[in-house]
This record gives sequence, structure tokens and C-alpha cells, in this order.
Amino acid sequence: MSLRQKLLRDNERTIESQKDFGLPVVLIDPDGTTHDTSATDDTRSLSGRIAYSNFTEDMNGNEIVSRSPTVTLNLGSLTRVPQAGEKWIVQIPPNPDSETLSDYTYERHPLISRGLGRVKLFLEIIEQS
Amino acid sequence: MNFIDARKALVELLGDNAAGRFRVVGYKKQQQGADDVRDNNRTVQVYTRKGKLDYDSTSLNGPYKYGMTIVIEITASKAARADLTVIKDPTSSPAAVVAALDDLQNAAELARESAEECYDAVFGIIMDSRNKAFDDDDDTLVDRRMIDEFEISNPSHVGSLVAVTLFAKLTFDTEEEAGGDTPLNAETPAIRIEHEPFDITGEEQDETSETVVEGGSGNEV
Repeated sequence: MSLRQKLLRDNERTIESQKDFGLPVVLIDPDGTTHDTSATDDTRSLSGRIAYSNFTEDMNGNEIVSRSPTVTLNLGSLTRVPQAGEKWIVQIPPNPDSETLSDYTYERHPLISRGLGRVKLFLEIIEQS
Repeated sequence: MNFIDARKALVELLGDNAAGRFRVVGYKKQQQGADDVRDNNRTVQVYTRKGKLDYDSTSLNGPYKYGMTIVIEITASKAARADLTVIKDPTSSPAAVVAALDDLQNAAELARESAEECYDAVFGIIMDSRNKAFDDDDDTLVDRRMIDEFEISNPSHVGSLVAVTLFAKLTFDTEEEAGGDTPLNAETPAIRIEHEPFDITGEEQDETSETVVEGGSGNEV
């Protein structure tokens, strides 16, 4: 087994295991279908690794600081992969200890790595219109 | 100098007329928190960019006419908007969810609209003829004020929000007088080296002396 195949196999543990860093994630695709379980095992809830990091971004000379949630998902657990230009709802806990989920979407191009078997989404919060 | 008073008057003018539409913050370029400039908390920063002497309208001994450039920087951020009651309702039909997703408004579009809306308000205040001298009572502080240029940044995805910054260039003229300088520290007074006029007919003699200015204007001897 190659190192890449080992890495793909380990994604379940390193990305999704809720005993480690995994947190629950629910996706609603543009067709209105909800994805809350793994594509490979429907008894296992969909999980991902969420980063709630702070960072500073320089924007045309202006500095902005904010929290920036990103979620990394195991491609092997998705029946449909979020693409750029699509409107998805991504529900994640607003903080690692929360038991409720907040609604996010994304505009930035998802980072899809077939080699590593992962997709990373840069999330924007949604508020009620 | 008058341009400092003019900038302060401008900040006050904008602050007095903001009416909850924006906040005027700081007098220098500074970091903004995306969460802090959300919705009507958009910020307007006013800071001096440059002053350029108008040679045609200035004499050697003053008053000195300066063409001032002040940057008005508007920062706004927005979240995406959607009908979450439909999306979160487990009884909603897939068609209803799809419709709600179609109506989802991207944060970038909303942030840009927010910055433009704020600029509309700021432009209206500054270019109101009643404020032609930044509401200065005797209308002498500034002349020929004009917002002659503005530029909007690309939307920036900042954390879970999207921010947009609009830079507007405000130009106006001020007249400055040189009032002389005052020594900063009386214990280290200003020193001026004086030379007697060179006498081409007499014997060469060193008349150089030091004059210590004890206080008051630096021009005093």
C-alpha cells in the first residue's frame, strides 16, 4: 500500500473521528438534498475537521481581522462534492463545544485535493433575510 | 495649521450627520475588525494623505496656499442572507429549499452595496452646499472642496464575513500662515550663528558671535 493510499485510509480517523478532531457537519446541496451521513456508512454521521482560527488579511492596504471557520471534509464520505459557483448550506457548530449547528455558505473556490482525498471550504455565515 | 482644523471639522461634520448610518472612527489608518464594521456599523476613517503647495497662488512670504488631499475610507462587511426558516425546517419540501438556496444573497454583493450606500451618505454630507467649508462658521477654513475620485476594493473574504473598502479622495484648498517656531526646551535654547557684513575695505576681522535665544519666538534676538 502506497503512502498516499495509507493517507486516504487514515482520513476517516484524522479528519472525521469525533474522538479526535472531527466535528459534526451537515451539507445541503443546491438540489435541496441534505447530507448528514457518510457516503460509505450511513450509520456514521458526516464529520469534518473545523478550524476556528483568527487571522489578519491585507486587503488593498486595509487590514481586517476576523474569525475564519474552515471545514475540511473527507472526499470519500461525500456523495456530491461542493463545487465553485454552487450554492450550498454548510451547517457546523459555531464553536467546538456547541451542540447546535449554525448555517454557513461559501463563495471562495473550494480547495479540492483528489490526491489527498480532501476538500476544504472557506465558510461565510448566513443570516436570516 | 488650518488643514488640521479642517480635518477635525470634517470628522465632526460627518459624525454629527451620521444618524446611525455609519461610525466615524480614528484619525489615522487603523485595523478594522470585520465583525465590528458589519451592517450599519460601517466605519468611515478620515486621514490626511498629502498637501501640495499651489505656486500660482502663493507669495514668498505667505500666506501659503495648499491643495490638500484627504482620504475618506469606508469599510463595510456583510454576511450572506437567506431564508433560514425554510432551510432549517425539516418539513420543508426540497423544492422550497432549492428556492431558498436560489434566493441566497452572497455576502460580497451585499458588502459592496453597503459600502456604496455609505458613500452616498458621506458624499451627500460633504457636498451639501451648506457644508462647503465643513460647517465652519465664517466659511474661511477651506475652499473648493470636492470629492473628485473614489475606488472600491475587490470584496475580501474575511473569516465568515465579506468586507469591502471604498476609498474616496477629497481635495480642498487651505491657506496657511507661518507663525514662527518656539524653542521646545528652554534649557537647550536655539542658537543662531551671526556674521557681521564682510568689510571689503577694512582689515579682515572675525566678528562671528553666538546669540542665544532665551525663549519666545525663534526669530527674536
